[in-house]
Amino acid sequence: MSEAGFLGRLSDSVMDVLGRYLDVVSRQLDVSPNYVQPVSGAFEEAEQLYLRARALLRSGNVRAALPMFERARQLVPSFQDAIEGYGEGLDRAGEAERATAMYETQRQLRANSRGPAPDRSFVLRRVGRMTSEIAEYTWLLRSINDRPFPYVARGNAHLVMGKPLRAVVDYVAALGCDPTLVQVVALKGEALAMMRRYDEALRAFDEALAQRPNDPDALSGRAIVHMACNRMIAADADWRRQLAVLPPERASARACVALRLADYAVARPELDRSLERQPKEPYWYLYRLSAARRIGEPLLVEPPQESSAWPAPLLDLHAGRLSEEAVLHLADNADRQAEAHFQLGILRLHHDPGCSRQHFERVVELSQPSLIEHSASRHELMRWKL
Amino acid sequence: MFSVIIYGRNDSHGYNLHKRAAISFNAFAEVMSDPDDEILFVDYNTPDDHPTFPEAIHDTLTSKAKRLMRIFRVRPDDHAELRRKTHLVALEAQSRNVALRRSNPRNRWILYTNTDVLLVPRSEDKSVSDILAALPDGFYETPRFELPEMLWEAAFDRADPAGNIKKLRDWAPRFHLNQVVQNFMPMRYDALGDFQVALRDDMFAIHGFDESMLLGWHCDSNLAARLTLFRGSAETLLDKIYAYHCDHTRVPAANNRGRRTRMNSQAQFIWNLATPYVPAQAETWGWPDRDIEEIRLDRDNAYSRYSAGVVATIAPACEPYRTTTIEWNSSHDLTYDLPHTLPFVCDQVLTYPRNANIMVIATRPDFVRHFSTAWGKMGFSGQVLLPTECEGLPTDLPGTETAPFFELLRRADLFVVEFGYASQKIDEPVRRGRHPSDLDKQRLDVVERLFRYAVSTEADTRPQHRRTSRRFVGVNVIYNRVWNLFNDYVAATITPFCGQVAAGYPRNERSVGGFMRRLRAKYGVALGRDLSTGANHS
Repeated sequence: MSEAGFLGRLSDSVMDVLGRYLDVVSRQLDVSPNYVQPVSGAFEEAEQLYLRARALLRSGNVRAALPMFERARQLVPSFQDAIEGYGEGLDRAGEAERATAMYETQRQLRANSRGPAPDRSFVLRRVGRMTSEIAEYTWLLRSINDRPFPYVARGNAHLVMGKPLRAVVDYVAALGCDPTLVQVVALKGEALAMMRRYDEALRAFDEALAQRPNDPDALSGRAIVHMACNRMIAADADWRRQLAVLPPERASARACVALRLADYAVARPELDRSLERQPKEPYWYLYRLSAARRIGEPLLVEPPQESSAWPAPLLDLHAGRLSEEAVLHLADNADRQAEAHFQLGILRLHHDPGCSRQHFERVVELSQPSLIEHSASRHELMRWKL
Repeated sequence: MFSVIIYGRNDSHGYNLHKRAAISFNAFAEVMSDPDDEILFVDYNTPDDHPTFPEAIHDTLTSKAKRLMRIFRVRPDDHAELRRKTHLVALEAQSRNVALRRSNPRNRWILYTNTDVLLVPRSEDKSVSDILAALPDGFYETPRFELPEMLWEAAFDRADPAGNIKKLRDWAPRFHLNQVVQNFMPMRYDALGDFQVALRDDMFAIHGFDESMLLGWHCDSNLAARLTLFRGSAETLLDKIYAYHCDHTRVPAANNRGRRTRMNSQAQFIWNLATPYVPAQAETWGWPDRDIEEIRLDRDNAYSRYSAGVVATIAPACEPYRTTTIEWNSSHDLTYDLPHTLPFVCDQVLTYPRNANIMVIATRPDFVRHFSTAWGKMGFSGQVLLPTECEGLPTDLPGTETAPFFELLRRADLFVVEFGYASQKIDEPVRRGRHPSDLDKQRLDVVERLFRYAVSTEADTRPQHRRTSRRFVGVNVIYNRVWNLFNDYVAATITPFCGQVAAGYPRNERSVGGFMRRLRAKYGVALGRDLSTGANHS
């Protein structure tokens, strides 16, 4: 019997116990805050309420489902699955106006969700309703448990929710169905990297790249593992190769890779192209400002002022509208602190190099290797040494 | 804002195709409001001598639909290499990818749907363009609701899309039409292919539809599985848009034969997937290097090209009518009315690619002069190829090339073979029992032998790029002494004498008679007269 078949045939209760164990272990892992949904008692309660409400809605009991969706939404106001479920329930109950408001709220939350940079694996860039996805694929696995798709899809959802151990279990099951799925080996590498099991992650990426040497996602994953292991030359080699294989139409991905390498002359035109495609994306303005300052180009374009949300304070910093202290005060998590220090490092580079260096060092201390500013800062610091 | 991508061909797929497609095209246009919006119709594998499907029904389309529609014509020759791998005559993945490759790059969204769907925004003051403009990035579906065949056939006016959409808003509660059919993930809904919205960038990133899906069905599920892997779960637009499908299952179609229906493997194309990408087709999907013709219905259409060609070469008739006869006692007489016949010849060639080269094997110089003028004015950039063996034809006409028959044979994309009297004047009465002069006989003999040779060796003498048979258009080949000759070699339909034109593809007869005819034709040239040198061997 294949591994997948075996896992698929485990009883629900055994899977449930295994799942709880994996959750406990997962929580002990310090995974990147980029990927993690809020794991709290409230979220767990909301998730349970949502799943029950969803089952009731499917069975046609709209009236019973509605208060559960609402309670789940109250417990975790950013819980997209519950908000959409509530919207559907309201729509079916004939409350079209309130339903529309719920759907719009969910879409707004999704629009505001930011995954990792576009040069990273497509799996990590996904945003949306992972709880319902996991539930749907778990349901599907009751019917189809000897094929890789449901395992891979559920594993991806676990990965995005910051549950890499569960993701690994699903990827292993998928490989049990078809051991030739080299793409799944690369996904396993991402999950292992998220768990900081870098040696195993590296082996997985090496295996994937041995068969598909030009897979940009696997190259990116391996570069970050190398960076986490302080192997900058190897990391740079992978990023250079990724840059070479990324097609011109993926300008934003190319820009991000160039930024990781602190190669601002390459990044600059790619950022222009990224802005043409996504004129409302503030990070492209920000990075273009950074690149222009770094290579001594004139700053021609005014940054957008539509929103005060992050990273608007960083754009204000460049425009001289916000002080260093104010920006650092507004940076409310480690990644944002790192982003702020990186921009301060760029701004101070020419007239106060020592201060600039301290900011870049602070970026490295604060951030995960997957953050663009992390590797860019390390390249800046390496230039100091040289 | 968005490009609608649909496909089909000029045939009779399903029930009352023309009506439901017109209803659908007009309804799409009705809910599109952004200046960049477009309806991309891929006309896949319609025979070369037919117009594309939208051209065939253009009079039933609203001016807005005609303005928004871009037609990409995929020729039978493009399909030829796939023909042996599939029982289908129109391929979904190839069609949709051809359109995607050529879609407006300014558009953020691609909407995949079909030619029997009507989209109804739930909010009456919003277009689909408005709705898509406000959406965050993602992959969206909406469930399909079914319309009984009687409703769309009996109650819809295809020229009134706004009225049809209004009717749907009324019918939905009255006839309990709105039933959401849930499905497993990644599909989310049943019949999902009638409304799938994806980012254009995402479609390029995942290499479009999987072009190895050649047997029909599940292309939509494959796309959903791959986009779900790429983007995350399929989001719903149920709160924004209803999609109604004009049911058409009264008669079987090529892709729907009940239990005998052949399908792409669900296991292979859905459940065995592990990646959104199709790396094997990363560089080739949508045939980026092929020159796919684009046709518009709002400009430079078939009629304008046709009339430009015909009007440029023949003056209007001065009499109410002219006469001819099919009485057998005049069947030996090969005179015919050129101004009357030419419009029928132009009709036979108008739908061919504009860069096609046409070989004209003819007796009458005035026919060649008129036809080559019309050919150029109809917008063809290909050459009119005239064999030097056909003596007495003009050699100085623009757009023509005169060279030995064997040099031209491998360059011709289609043939016009004209049987007349070289000595006939354009205003001469026809079919009065006139016998050919010696010169006429000599020229007819050459035309006959070239025709026999060209048609018998057609498969062996095709241009390198061609994979499909070349068509032969016979001029003045009905109810006369070359009627049998033409039909012995060409599988032509029975056409009215009044057009004086018949056309078809070479017969591939496996009978002894067919074999003998091919043998005679092939070697008759050499046994009779060496056409490449002009020397007489007999």
